[in-house]
Amino acid sequence: MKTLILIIFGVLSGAVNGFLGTGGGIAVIFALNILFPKLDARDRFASAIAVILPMSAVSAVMYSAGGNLPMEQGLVYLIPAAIGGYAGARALDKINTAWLNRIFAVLLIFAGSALIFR
Amino acid sequence: MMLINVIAGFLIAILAGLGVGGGGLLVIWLTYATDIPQIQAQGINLVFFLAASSASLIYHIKKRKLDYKVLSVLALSGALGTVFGYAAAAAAPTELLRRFFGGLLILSGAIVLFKKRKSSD
Repeated sequence: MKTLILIIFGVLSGAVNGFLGTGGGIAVIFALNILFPKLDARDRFASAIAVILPMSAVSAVMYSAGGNLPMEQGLVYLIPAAIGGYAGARALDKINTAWLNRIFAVLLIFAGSALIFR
Repeated sequence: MMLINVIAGFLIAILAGLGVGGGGLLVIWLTYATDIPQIQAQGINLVFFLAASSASLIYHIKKRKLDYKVLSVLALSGALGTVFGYAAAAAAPTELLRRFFGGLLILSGAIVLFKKRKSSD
């Protein structure tokens, strides 16, 4: 039963990842929440990343094969991405991100609304 | 022009490492600051995520406990799901894709603002 739920949410997560290039984490974290409610939040977050990584790799290959991954424009972001990602992960245990999360949540809602209603 | 992209990428990656903002920020940046089409911005976002999260995971994996059996099932199912997802993205008109993306952003924001804090958070 647990395996079935994992498969269903896994496919759902992958579908969102392939469709939008992001966002599959919501389904993964939801599944981990209901199946392993005692799991520490940071283990849950790390687990989600560990799952979405291979998913994103598969998606990236397909996007690239379809001509939708312009590396000449993406290349500039890769080193900042690696450095920033590592720095952020190190800072996670030292910073209370609650307010940062809220500020960006508001930004996301505004940006999302602009995309829908523009 | 390049410098601002580097700075934006760096800041967005730090936020991603902190678990803030999700995958939407870079796509928002790319579609507002450049004329890259929605689907290609999503493609770039995927490799951005690969770079940022590989780096982030290297740090996390030392301190966190992960259940590799569970993660394998999720990852393999996910890989299958991506095939359907990408096929849909490639077939969808760009305006529709943007609106769905907008919906995801609203959902992500709402989840953060309205979820109850559990004792383990």
